[in-house]
Order: sequence, then C-alpha cells, then structure tokens
Amino acid sequence: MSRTRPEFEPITAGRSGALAIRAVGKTHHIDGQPLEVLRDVSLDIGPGEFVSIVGASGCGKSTLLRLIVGLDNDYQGEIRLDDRRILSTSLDRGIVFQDHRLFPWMTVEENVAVALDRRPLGREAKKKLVAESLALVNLSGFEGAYPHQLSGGMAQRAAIARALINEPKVLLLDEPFGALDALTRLKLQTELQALRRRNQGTMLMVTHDVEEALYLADRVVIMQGGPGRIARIVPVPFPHPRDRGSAAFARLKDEILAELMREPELGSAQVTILSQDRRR
Amino acid sequence: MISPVLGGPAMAGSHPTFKMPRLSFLKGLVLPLLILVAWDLLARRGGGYGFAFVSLEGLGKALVDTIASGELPRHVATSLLRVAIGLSVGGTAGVLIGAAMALSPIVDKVLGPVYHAIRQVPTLGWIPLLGLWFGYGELPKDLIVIKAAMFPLVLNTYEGLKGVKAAHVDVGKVLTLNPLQLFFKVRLPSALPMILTGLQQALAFAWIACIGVEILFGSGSGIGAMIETGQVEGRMDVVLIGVIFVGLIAFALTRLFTRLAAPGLRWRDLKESR
Ligand SMILES: Nc1ncnc2c1ncn2[C@@H]1O[C@H](COP(=O)(O)OP(=O)(O)OP(=O)(O)O)[C@@H](O)[C@H]1O
Ligand SMILES: [Mg+2]
Repeated sequence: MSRTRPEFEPITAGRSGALAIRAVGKTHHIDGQPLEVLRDVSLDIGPGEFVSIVGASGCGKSTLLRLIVGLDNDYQGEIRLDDRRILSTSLDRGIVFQDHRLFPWMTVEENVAVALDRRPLGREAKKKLVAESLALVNLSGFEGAYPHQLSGGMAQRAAIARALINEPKVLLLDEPFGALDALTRLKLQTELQALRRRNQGTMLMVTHDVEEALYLADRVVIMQGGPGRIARIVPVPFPHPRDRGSAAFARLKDEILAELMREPELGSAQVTILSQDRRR
Repeated sequence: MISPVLGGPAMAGSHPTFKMPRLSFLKGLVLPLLILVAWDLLARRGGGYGFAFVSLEGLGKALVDTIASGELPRHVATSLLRVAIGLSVGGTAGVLIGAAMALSPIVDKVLGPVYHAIRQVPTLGWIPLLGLWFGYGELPKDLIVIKAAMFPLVLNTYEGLKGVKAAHVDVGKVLTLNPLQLFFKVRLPSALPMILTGLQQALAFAWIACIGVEILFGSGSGIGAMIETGQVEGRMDVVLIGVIFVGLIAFALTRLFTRLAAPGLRWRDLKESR
C-alpha cells in the first residue's frame, strides 16, 4: 500500500465533530535544548469517525492529543474543530488519560459532577445527568466511593463518564486501557464500542494494542518517531461487531505490526541531522 | 487428611486486632501511674525531698484551692484565648501568605527571602525586640503567639500548593474550570493534608510559645504567668499544677484537632473502607 497523503478538502459544513489537523509541528524544550517532537502532521477526521493512533513510544502521540484538547497552544500549523481554530480547552472536547486522573479527594459522583461546574444547570438536573452517565458506564451504586476504593477498570470507567457527561463532539483517549489487565481491557473495549453507537461523537484513541485499534477504529494511523509524523493510514473495512479471530483481521494486524517494526532504527541525534539536511 | 485450617472470615487471629486500641490505651496509663506512685513515695519520705516533691495530697488540696478561688480557670482561659487569637490571626495570615507565595512568582521573590530570614530566628528570640517596641503588656505576647502559629502554616501551605500534580490541574483545565474553581476544587483540596499538618504544628508551636512567653514576661495572667509566680513565691504545688495543666491541655488540643481534621482527610485514609 502506498503512503497515504493527507487530504485537504474543506470540511462539510453543518456536521459536527470534524477535526482538521493541518501541518502541525511541535518542539519541546528539555533543559533549553530544543526537541522536535512533531513535524508536519496532517490528518482529517470526519464527524463520528473513530480513528486510532499507533506508534512507537515517544513518537509524540500524547503530545498531539494535548494539542488537540487545547492544553498547549504553542505549536506550528493549525488544528480546527468544525472549522473553528482550537486555542484552548473546551467542553466540546473530552479526554481520558491512561492514569484515570480522578481527584482522590472527591467521590466518584463528585468527580463526574465537577465536569458540570461550568454548565448553567440546576442542582437536580446535574444530579440526574451524573446518575445517568454513571449508569452508562455500569458504576451505579459506587457514587460515594473514593477513587482508592475502586479497581483500575472501575476508575477508568468513572474517568470515561467524566469525559462523556458533556457529550463532547470529540473524545480523545490516550491509552485508556493500557494499565488494565487483559480481561478488563476486552470488556471495556466492548463497552466503548457500545458507548460509541449511542454517543455518535468523533473519537481519537492512542493505543499500543494493534488488535484494540483494529477492533474499534474506522482507520488506524501509524506514527513514526524522531520527529513524530504520520507514516501511513490504514482503513479498517470490517463491519461491527468485529471478529478478532477472522483471517482478514489477523492479516491486517500483521501488516500493521510489520509497518511498526519497519520503523527506522535511528538515534534521535541522527534523525535531527537528517531533518536539518532536508530543511535546506 | 489435612483439614482446611486456613481461610474462613472469623479467624481467631482477628481478635487481638480488635482489642489492640483499648490495650494500648491502658498501656498509656501505666507510666503516668507509676510516676505518680514513685512521686508520692518520695514526697512522703520528707526531709530534703519535701520541698521539691509535693505530696499527692498537697497537690490535690492546691488544685481544689486554685479552682475554688477561680485563679486556675482564669489563667487557663487567658492562655486558651491567647492561643485562639494566635491561631486564628496567625493561621489565617499564614495560609494567605503561603498561598500567595505559591501562586504568584512575584510575591514569592519578594516575600520568600524575608520569610526564610525571619524563620531562622527562634520565636522567643523576638521577645526583647517586641518588648522594646510594644512594652511588656498583652500585645507583644499575642504577637509572639501569632508569629509561632503563622510560620509553619506559611511553609506547609506553600509546599502543599506547590506539590499539586500538574496532571490534576490539567484535568481542571480540560473541564474549563476558571482560576477560582481551579483553586477551590483542585489546588486547595490537593494541598489540604499538608496544610492540616501545618495547622497541627501551628497548634503545638502556638501553645509552647504562649506558655513560654507568659513565663518570660512573668506579669499578667495565663498558665505561664501562674507557673512563674508560683516559682517566685516558692509554691511548688502551684508550679506543678501549672505544668500538669500545660501538658493536659496540649494533649486535649491535639486530640480535638485530630478529631476535627479526620473528616476532611477521609479520602486519604486507606484503612477506612466503606
Ligand atoms: N512537557 C514536556 N517537556 C519536554 N519534553 C516533553 C514533554 N512532554 C513530552 N516530551 C517529549 O516529547 C516526546 C514525545 O512524548 P509523548 O509523550 O508525546 O510520546 P508518546 O508517543 O505519547 O509516547 P508513549 O507511547 O510512551 O506514551 C518524548 O521524547 C518526550 O520526552
Ligand atoms: Mg503517551
């Protein structure tokens, strides 16, 4: 398959949840030394689409999600959601991190409710929304529990409830199930798939698990490191629910794994020299 | 056949853990009781010891007398009031200054060096200076206690707020909390355990400073003043009652504080499950 070129068509107006990432570059500074983490990353994600990003550790996947969610606006290029430039955080984007990041001083209920703090809703309306979203992630009955009293899977469910309660147009997931055991992970993947059918929002998930990416995503984006860029985009043609055991599924998985293994074995120093050459 | 000896919810081994708290409480009483008995024996032997060691009977009589005359309650009330003033004024100032230093780099740069320089001088070292400025009335005493309560809270509030995890602040920003919400929902609760530790230190330091400054000034009322007067007048029984009450009140204050602080720290207590 040839390298997929990023498309640059204008986004269809009216539909919501379209994410346009255009020529994005990001340079971190470590002890004053610049480190180019992302270069010329372009990607269009349609409304309601589920895109997965896989790639070697350190290739800038989390950095890209931080830019999209609006926690960092010091970057080159531009990111647009429904044609509006992303400049800061907003409730139309939600994120789930690998570590659940629940506030340990709040109960499950309070952790989810804090996401409604900026919404002009009455006390009763908020209570109802919280109860609904906890029911959605199968956490009813644990409203009063503190995070340290939850299992890893339950904590991650609560984090998902917190991210979904405002029905964001885009949900970003940064290795959301990476810290969970295999069985819990499978269960949550199925639950996420079910949530997606209900929620209809756009989803962008970073994962190390190629099978997980293939099970959930419409397209799998393969990123390459040093500096991070998109190597290839693989459409996943299988209908849902997907059969992890099918031959076609396994073939696509092998293909993506092979692509990931092909990653050039260059130290970052060499990569920097190469990239400087290319710039001239 | 090997019978299953392991497992089962109500094992015999679980009983000692239930009795532990009460046992250790009783153990805590053993030493004071022994000391009291030894004390009484020494006092009854009379002779040279009679002056230094008041008999338990004499002590009891002095206690009844000082309470009946209203002298002891008056001194206790004065000292408690002084600590209350010190904690509320010094504590509030300490939290505010610590928070300002943690949240504003400019305030940190301006106040930081002064704070650390002043901190190096022991609280009681300020007495001569304050005496010269404000005389030897109540104001300098209150100021010393305020200072003693304030400094641990500046430090702990500062450290607590500086230690708030960036990951948690990021979550607050993702949820678009404004700076005020971010402070009260994220930064402050995250720093609360540290601030409460500071408050506990402030309580102890304020009490020590209060008694110390009352003894050093010698005038006016307060348990420290009572002890100082007792010493000057050679009333060992009064001195002893003062010392005992200093200890008892410190113990009670610490207990009270732990009780009051516990609900605020429930989320942190790993042993306390639902
Ligand atoms: N705040 C930061 N300051 C400086 N450098 C950073 C910062 N955050 C990330 N980096 C650097 O940017 C690079 C990419 O980091 P990032 O976390 O985006 O990688 P990743 O693809 O998410 O890796 P992983 O799969 O291990 O999570 C790394 O080399 C990292 O050292
Ligand atoms: Mg990452």
